[in-house]
Amino acid sequence: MISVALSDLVHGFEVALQPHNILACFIGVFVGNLVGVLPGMGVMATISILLPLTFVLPPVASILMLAGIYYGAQYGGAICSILLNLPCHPPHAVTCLDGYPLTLQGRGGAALGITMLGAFIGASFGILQMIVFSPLIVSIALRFGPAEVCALMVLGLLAGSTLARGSPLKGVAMTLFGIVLSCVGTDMTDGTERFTLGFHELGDGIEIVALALGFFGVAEFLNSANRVRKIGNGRLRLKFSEMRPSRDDLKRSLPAICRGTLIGSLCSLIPGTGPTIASFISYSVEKRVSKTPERFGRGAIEGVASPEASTHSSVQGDFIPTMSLGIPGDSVMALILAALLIQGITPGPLLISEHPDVFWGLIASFWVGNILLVALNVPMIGLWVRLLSIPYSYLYPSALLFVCIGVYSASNNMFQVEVTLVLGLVGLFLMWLGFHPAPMLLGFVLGPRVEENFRRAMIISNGDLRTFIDQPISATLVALSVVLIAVQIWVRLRARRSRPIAAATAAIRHAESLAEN
Amino acid sequence: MRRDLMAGCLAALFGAVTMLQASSYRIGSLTSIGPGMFPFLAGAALFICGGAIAASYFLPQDADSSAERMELPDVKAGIFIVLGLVSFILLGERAGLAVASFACVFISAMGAENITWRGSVLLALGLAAGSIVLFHYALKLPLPAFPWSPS
Repeated sequence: MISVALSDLVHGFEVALQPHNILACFIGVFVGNLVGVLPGMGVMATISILLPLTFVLPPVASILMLAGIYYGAQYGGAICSILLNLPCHPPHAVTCLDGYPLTLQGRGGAALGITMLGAFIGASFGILQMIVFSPLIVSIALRFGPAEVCALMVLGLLAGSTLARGSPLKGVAMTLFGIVLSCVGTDMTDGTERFTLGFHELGDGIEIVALALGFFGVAEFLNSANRVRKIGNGRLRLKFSEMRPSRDDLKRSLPAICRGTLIGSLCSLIPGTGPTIASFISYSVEKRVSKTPERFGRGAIEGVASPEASTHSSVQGDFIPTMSLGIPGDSVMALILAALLIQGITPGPLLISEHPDVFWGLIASFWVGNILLVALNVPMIGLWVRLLSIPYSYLYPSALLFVCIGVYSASNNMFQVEVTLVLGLVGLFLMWLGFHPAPMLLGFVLGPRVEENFRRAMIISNGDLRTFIDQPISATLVALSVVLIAVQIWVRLRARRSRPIAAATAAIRHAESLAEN
Repeated sequence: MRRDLMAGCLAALFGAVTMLQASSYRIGSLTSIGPGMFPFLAGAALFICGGAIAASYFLPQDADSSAERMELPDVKAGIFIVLGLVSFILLGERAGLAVASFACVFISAMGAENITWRGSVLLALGLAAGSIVLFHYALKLPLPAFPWSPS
């Protein structure tokens, strides 16, 4: 099996190394890196803006590019955190704790060097994990019927909405809201127009780009215009030569990088626990195993190395459930899934055998992209650092224009731009009520597929709901969903009484509120 | 938090409206599912979920539940962002990409602090020129470029 995987991987490199695919990958990681560096710009908004532009590209190139934005942004986000103490990208919020003190001590360059090293090791491990696990998962998933797929999607949605940030109940509510929004438009089986409110333009449903840019673009700009903290007190000059870490740094960091990598890859396998949670967990683990925990928060290089490695291995691992099961773990993956669907490719167990060029090309391009990113970041660090000083007042009006053009080009219809504006205002209101928008996008993307599989399962079983618990696989999945809900309730009731858990959740919430401001 | 109560009630209300609207489509039965069934179930779940969120307001609260405080957005910037979007919607097909781009950027920048008039004019001009080159000529976006271009 290993040899088959190896020859497939070689094929993947042949795909990824074609000039136009290298170019697509380069554009992706470059834009991603840029967005990661610019404070206040989001990965979600960027991917959604570029999504319509990839309609004209072949499927492989478009996926390489969109995926590149995601992992490229992680490289840029670290620069922002370490040099400016600005946790504008949630996974890197925890990097500030030790990265910025290092900058104040004049060792920000070394911290960035270690970050690049950790990132590359973490990402490589995540890619290997994808190569090993995806075929295994696929061999199980190929035996799934509609009932199993439906149960698996419900489990994925539950995990995605309850394990992510914020209150679990509100997460579930947002997922359901997304599912309801996905019902808007003409029904697939008998052509009934659902929830169109009399607008015949809504017959084709809500454009995913309009939804994503409403919630992650317009709502975000409304929320943070004139509210992004002013930049200044960081050290905004850095040279290539400063990036080489000392021998002592390396000795301290390498074990930390390995621990972080492992934690990140474990987290990526659980839907809903993306890079943000991975980096927080690995920071606290690092602090616990350290012989000198008092150094943490005052510039411990391990406190930078481990969370960064963890973020990157988790970012790569995130692709596993999306590509092998067709079930995205977070909102970015939901967009990637939507991009594949638009290209006429259904992600799922059949993807590897039906579109090997997409799957293996993507994996090979991860390496190409990570090497490109190291090459982009190490010698050009000075340029990225200078970009940090672009004020948000110039960024958001520009981004707003790209939002308009992006939504218009997705449908060639001004109506969807109006939808974006309305959804942006709705999104702002929902954020103010404490709802996070990420689970909504998961519900929106998976909603129609849950409905379709539910209908099919009911047709096959002749309307008997017991089909979900008769078969061992789907019974297990249903049981897991029940356990997941039970554990959530237990933790919540328990958190009130027991101190350590309450302290831990309080710490995570505190860090999250740091990340949000 | 009082906001939880409001959030829960709104979610429950939205769920109820969804159920009501879904029941106007054919619900069908489990053997032959109609277009109304799935949204009806989703609406019902949302109704229950919203009820639970609202109910949690009456449970004893954790001390740290107020941690997720949110700063209110800047009203002036918000109004100009909305106006910027509206200007693009109104002008895009009528006056063309160049004018719409300029208006969208310039108007939304009017709400921003620490940006000068000169700065926002230059930014808007630059982006309008850029979007004409990139989106009109290179990517063939089907919007007229200038007010005098045939649409």
